[in-house]
Amino acid sequence: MNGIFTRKTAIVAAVGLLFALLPPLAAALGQEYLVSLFTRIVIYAIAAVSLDLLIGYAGLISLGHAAFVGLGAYAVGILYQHSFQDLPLFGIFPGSENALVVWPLAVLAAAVFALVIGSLCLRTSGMHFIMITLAFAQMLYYLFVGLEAYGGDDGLSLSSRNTLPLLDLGGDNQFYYLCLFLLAAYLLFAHRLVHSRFGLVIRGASSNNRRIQAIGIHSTRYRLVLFAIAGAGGGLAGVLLANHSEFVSPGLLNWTLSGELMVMVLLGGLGTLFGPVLGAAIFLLLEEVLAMYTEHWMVYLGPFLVIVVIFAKHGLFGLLAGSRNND
Amino acid sequence: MLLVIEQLLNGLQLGITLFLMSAGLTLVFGIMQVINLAHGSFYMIGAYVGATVAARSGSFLLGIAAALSAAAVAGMVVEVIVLRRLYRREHLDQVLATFGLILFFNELTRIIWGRQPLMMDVPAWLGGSIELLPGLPYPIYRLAVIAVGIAVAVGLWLLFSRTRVGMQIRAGAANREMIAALGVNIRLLYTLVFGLGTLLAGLAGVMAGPILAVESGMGESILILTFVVIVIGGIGSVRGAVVGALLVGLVDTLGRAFLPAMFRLFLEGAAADSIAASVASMAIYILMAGILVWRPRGLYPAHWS
Amino acid sequence: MTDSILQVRDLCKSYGAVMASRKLCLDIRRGDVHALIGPNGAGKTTAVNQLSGDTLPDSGSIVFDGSEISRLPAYRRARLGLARSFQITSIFEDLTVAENLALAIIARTGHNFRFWRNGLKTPLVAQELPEALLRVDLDRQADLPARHLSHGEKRQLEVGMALTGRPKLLLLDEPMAGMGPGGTVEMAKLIRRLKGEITILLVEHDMEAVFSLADRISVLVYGECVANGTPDEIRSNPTVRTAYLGDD
Repeated sequence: MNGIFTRKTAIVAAVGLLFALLPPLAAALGQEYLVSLFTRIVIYAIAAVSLDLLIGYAGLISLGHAAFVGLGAYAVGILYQHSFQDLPLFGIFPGSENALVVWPLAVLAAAVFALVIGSLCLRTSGMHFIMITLAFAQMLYYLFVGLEAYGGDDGLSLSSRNTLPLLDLGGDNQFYYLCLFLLAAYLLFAHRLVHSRFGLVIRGASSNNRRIQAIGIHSTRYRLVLFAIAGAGGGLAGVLLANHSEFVSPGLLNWTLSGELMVMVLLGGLGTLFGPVLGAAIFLLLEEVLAMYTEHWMVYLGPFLVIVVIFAKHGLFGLLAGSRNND
Repeated sequence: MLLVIEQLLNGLQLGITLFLMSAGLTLVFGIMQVINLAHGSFYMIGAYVGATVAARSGSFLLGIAAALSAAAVAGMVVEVIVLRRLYRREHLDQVLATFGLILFFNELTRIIWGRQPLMMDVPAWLGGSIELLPGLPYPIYRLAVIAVGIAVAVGLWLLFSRTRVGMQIRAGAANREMIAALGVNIRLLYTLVFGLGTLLAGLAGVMAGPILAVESGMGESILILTFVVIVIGGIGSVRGAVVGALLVGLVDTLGRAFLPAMFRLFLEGAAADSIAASVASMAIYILMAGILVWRPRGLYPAHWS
Repeated sequence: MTDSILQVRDLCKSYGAVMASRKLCLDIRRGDVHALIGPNGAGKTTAVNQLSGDTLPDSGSIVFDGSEISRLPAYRRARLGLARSFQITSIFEDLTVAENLALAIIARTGHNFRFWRNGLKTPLVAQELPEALLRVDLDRQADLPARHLSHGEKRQLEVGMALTGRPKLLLLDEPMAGMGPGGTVEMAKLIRRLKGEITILLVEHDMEAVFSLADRISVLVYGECVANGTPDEIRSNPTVRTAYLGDD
């Protein structure tokens, strides 16, 4: 047990150090584009960790996580457009470019949507749950494709990132560190969460839901709250993605993103919080490298996934760290 | 009134396509307890192979035959190589592996056929329209699609109610342990059921070819509608698939056709159209949500839990 | 009858043509170990499921500690003080032994929307966990994932979880099923220790255990209660003898 523990800490420390030192490293190597790539990795990691709370800890296989990412991103885009065109939303609410206003609102929107969807989806379980989460996410996708006022199919362009006092989000390094800080904060929060009383209930319900009812806990309420917490995480990732690329499109809501996030969670290792971070890094780096050799990289990624699923059950973090572990 | 009838027929035709997709998939879900996201890929394979063979040979019927065999063979090969290993695994593994299959098939069609959508012509002998009622012309091809769909539904009904294999399949979908108790060669039966499901998906794909664009990723938009159908109808129920498919087909088509006019009654033109379009695109999901609240396991829930 | 904790009247439950409970009546006195026996298929587990709320009866009433509970969901009944163990061991396999018991402890507080502090360090848990571990003799296995326990230990853990909720009535559905002789002795010891502290409804096939542990016994045949009484009365009851002989 001890050896595994140190190996695990060593991996976490090494990866953490790499993330922390990336901007100076990239500058030294003269490969500044790496900062942008790693910003994307960090943002996807937030989304993957939030999805892992559902899949890995609560046993809720949601195939609609893109909905929350997309909703967070669109909240940024829509508020930006209203502010830019000086046209109040619903005739009363002025838009905003201020991150302190926009970001909490966007995250809140994602959480509220998760509550609404979750209260319907959690009436079911198993295959039904997978299909229904997917269907509701796709509903949002078609909704935004149809909303011509916000760019429809083509999406929305932002002419600059949101503003924040003291920090210049337009600067790539500062934006990267902000994202990294938010990832660290979300990881810490998630770590406390899964070991808290709330987390005990969630993990207990995942392990044996009938039993948890028998000891007097109505687990659906807890799952619903977790669904909202995970939705908020997805929304935060969406907010950051919209700011990173200064562009929002229905592609962010599409179910392929939900699938990719799920792949990241699996690659990294289910039910480990650090695993999805590794998974996001591996997935996006793999995509980057494969795309250098062939535009048809997905024709290799697909079978690779099938093989990973059939043969490596505990993900790469599990493989590296030696066992499945609960944190 | 004529417009209503025309839209009803359009809804029926979408419903038929959805039925062909969901009948096979709901059996796979029910019998093998495996969630297969790649079902749409066989729809796409059917469309691509059908369009290509029909164009090269000049025979639409040959195109259909090629599409059916390609989808069925691809389905059985995938079942033997991949799906079979996933039957006893968690749903999560099934989701991820079949997601991998989608990526593979979508990219493969891009490699073979390129990124441009393929156009498939309606064969001359099914071209043109006939006047169903005075003042209501309707494309013959679409009527043919509806007829084929009804024929397949009747065929499936005969298969399930009159043949031994069919009854075994139905028993298995309703109660999984039954099938083992009947002493059936389960592996072979699974492969055949899967092949039958993908064959129907291929048929849906090739018939949709002349109506929609044949392109990479076309399987996924239909797949999600298929999921809505199965959620509404209940997993494992062919009867549920029929009812769910017709409901979804009609609600979607009628919503898109008539909601704008309804909204224009109390809103001005542009705003009404944009809101109506949004509501129409959400109509089937609202239908699904409503049915979920009323019956969480669908209209015709199977007996396993 | 004033000291009865559970009164079941005319409970009916059918599955299709099969009547699993037919006008079932049952009275359990506070403080008793009350055994429920009967041939296979007599509807014992169905009866327990209806008491715990895992199954809803078609008709009839269940009054527990003064309140009518027959339509309440399982988690509400558990909060009123009705705990159960399952015929097939039901614990949280993925959690550690300590976490299993901690969950049972925090369950009775009603609200656990606490997101930050470690669940095992909650004052209530910190206070009760050591004793809860000792009571079922699992203190040395506290940090072990429950899936690694032996079958007998899992059973003990399950009963331990039911007890931490400080139930007024404990439903034990075949606690000795599938155990070796050693496990059976351990379980009998545990039940004997609880006797007097807590009311127990015991469903069990092991007749030796039943007759040595129970204060009162009810006999179920085809979903109907055919006899009630002390172990001695049951032993000499002619109806019971025919019912069992007829079945065997």
